[in-house]
Amino acid sequence: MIIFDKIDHLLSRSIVEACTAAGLECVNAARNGGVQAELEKLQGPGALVIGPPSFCEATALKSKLYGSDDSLALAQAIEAEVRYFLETCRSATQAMMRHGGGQLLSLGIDDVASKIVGLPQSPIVNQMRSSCIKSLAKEYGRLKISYNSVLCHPSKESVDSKLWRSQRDALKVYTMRFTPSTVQEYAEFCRQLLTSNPPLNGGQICLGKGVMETAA
Amino acid sequence: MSTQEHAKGTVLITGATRGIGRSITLRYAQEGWNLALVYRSNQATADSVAIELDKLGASYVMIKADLINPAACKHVVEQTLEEFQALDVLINNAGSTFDGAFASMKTTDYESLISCNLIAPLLLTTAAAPELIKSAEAGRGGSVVMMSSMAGITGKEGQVPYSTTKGGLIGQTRLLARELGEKGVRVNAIAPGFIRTEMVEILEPKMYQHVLAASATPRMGEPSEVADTAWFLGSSNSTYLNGTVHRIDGGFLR
Repeated sequence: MIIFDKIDHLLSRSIVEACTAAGLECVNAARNGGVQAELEKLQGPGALVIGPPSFCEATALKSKLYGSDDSLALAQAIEAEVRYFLETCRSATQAMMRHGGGQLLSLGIDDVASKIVGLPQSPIVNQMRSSCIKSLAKEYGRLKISYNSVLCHPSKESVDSKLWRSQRDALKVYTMRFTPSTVQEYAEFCRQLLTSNPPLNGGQICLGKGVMETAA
Repeated sequence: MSTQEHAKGTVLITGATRGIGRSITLRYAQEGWNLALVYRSNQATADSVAIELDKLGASYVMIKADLINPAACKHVVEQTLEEFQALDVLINNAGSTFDGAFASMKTTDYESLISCNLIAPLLLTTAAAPELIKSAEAGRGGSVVMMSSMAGITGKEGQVPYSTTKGGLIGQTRLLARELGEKGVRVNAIAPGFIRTEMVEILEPKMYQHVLAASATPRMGEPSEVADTAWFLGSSNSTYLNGTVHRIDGGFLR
């Protein structure tokens, strides 16, 4: 069984479709009493997919720095994301330890490409998740639990086609004649990752055309 | 507190009285900067640093503050301005850790870690940003240094919450660099590896020999070696560095 913490993002929904088409059972925990409740129902090694963050850190930071916003909205949102991710990972780890293994996959959207095409950017949460995943893999890989994160460029469907064309020059930082990948391509890759048991643990896999190395 | 009329700039350092922070404090003092030094609770270490600074004839102010409290971050910036009328460099050095088996931890075990390692630097940097922008516009500087960790890059077993927050700090460095870079303020991070501080001196060698063996320079780093980079990143010698992460790890091979 593959548990999704929520499927409000196009990427998560597409992975559900790809997995369901392959005959896999998928559950949306957000509609069924939460991740913890679904983890309790596992009968053997299962998988948990944590969807991409949707909060735009860049917008909140601008508002904090240059607007009249004197609130703690940005700090509180980051704190809530970190706490949620750690708690969800801990619950999943505990359940998977009981069942002799499992997989945890964290999804994210590349924040530089998102900035270019005007989508929400979450560099703090993306990097926080990646570091957490690497640490968990080092600590619990020996118990046959695998932890990986996938960071995708924005998909073709996530932005209007005119906008992709208008940003052609900016996207040259990735590759000449940048063509965005479809969400189905990303979803299919994730389905294979979840079902093929690859020799990979603690990986941060970047998907997209002309992916660049980031700071860490 | 002594005074120095011709300071090269004003630096605000958190966690300034112990370990790496103490070395950074002394490095900037030797370079003739005004120092706003934040410590949380240990009066003895603060007094000890003060004695060293007095010997150097440094210009400094000690600020006791718990940066987990958002109001304290604003207060620290205000006190710095009251004392020195400017702020050119901010070094977010303060941090804490809680180690152990992650699956056995409770949320309350690492709540303060999130606040201290990730949220406080964000609050302090946004509070200091207007002054840092003024500094950049005046051609004096405008630089932020985040103290991350190798654990934030490579991950570390037994340190899941710590490495998570230190990884988030690297993301925060990129976000702030992008935003403040347009205003001339640079934001960079340091990721120290195995550095000789109080935290590691209590460990038995067998607990870290494998780490040293996996390094191209098989010895512990010294706090002063991290301080050199912190000074470089705050100085006018690094004006085209922005959004970078500097590994001070002797060439850790992983």
